Amino acid sequence: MFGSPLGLDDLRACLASIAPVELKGMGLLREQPHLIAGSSRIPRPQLVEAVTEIVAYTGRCTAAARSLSNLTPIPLLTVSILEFGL
Amino acid sequence: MNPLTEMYEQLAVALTADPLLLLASAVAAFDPFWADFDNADIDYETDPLTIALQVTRYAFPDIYAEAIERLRADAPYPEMDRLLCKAISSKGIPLNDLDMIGWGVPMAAVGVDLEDPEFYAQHPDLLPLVALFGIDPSEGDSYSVDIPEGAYAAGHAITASLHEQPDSALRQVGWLFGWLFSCTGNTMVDLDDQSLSEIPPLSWSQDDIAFAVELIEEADGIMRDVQLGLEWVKTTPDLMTALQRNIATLYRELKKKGKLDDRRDHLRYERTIRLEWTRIDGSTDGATVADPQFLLVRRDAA
Repeated sequence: MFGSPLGLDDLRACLASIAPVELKGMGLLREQPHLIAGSSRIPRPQLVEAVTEIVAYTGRCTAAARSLSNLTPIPLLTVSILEFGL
Repeated sequence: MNPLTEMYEQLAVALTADPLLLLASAVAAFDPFWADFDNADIDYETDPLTIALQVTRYAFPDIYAEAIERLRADAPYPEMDRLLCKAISSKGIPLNDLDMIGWGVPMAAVGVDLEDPEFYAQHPDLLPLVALFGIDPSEGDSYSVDIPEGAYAAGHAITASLHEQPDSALRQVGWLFGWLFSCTGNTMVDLDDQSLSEIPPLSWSQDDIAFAVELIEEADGIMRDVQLGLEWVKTTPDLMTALQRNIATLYRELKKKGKLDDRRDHLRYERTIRLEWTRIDGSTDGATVADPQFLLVRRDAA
């Protein structure tokens, strides 16, 4: 891929092609939308699984966001992005 | 269904139709504190409920889920206190008051201070046992009990010897002496409250929680054996006789050797004097009993 022009549209298409995340909690809400107001009617093992998964997921997201915010600039000498050409 | 609740239902359905909104709804429903605790560092200065939510969020997700549910129902603080303490205690970490959570993992010391007269007031059934070592709480001043020189060395040697016995009852008696002379290897059993308070408490990190649970379980097991060992001592006159002879031998040998300066001296003292025990169940199989009438001293050992 390096060496060939990468446009903003390509980058957007690349990110858009990523499948939406599917978490157990999302499945529970899809099946029973009223659970948004409270999860007391969810069987405990299912609730624990959903919470555990979401806690891990939000933890990964936070870690990823922190890593991205700390990225150092990398000079791309052989890649040209036309939209940002000087 | 009135228009208001109908609208609410429609809104809920609409939120689940879009993947992004569904994800946001799921996070809001199941992990509402996701943005409040962005790393594992706990602010121990903040309020106990916040600390408890942070601790349970990564260490006990099931408790966190239950706590979230009760917070949604506007549960008052005393109810949250009870719920969280009971749930965390059920995980093996006794927590009686949520206010204590900011001090780290609570640990209850059960160790013995033989110099403390109060100890003997609380455990009068141990007086015949400590008397074998020459400890007499009625002597000395009312603030401190005199412990004869060599009592700890003899106590450690008795403990080490009993732990080597194949008879499980004798090993339980060994835990009794390990507790009395603070040499079980378990911090909670070997230290009293004052000594334990001088050690920095364990944090609520996952590693420390796992270590604390293991430590507490081990301490509970040891203290059960201590109780059983004490019962054996009370109900087995032959055992008291053997203890008396073995302790007398240890004191006599210690007197010959003089002061034990370091760990190597202590190990040599414990290993070169072979103590003999009678099995509590009365059998004479195995190497436990060489001669129940006499205590043998192995003088040729290294």
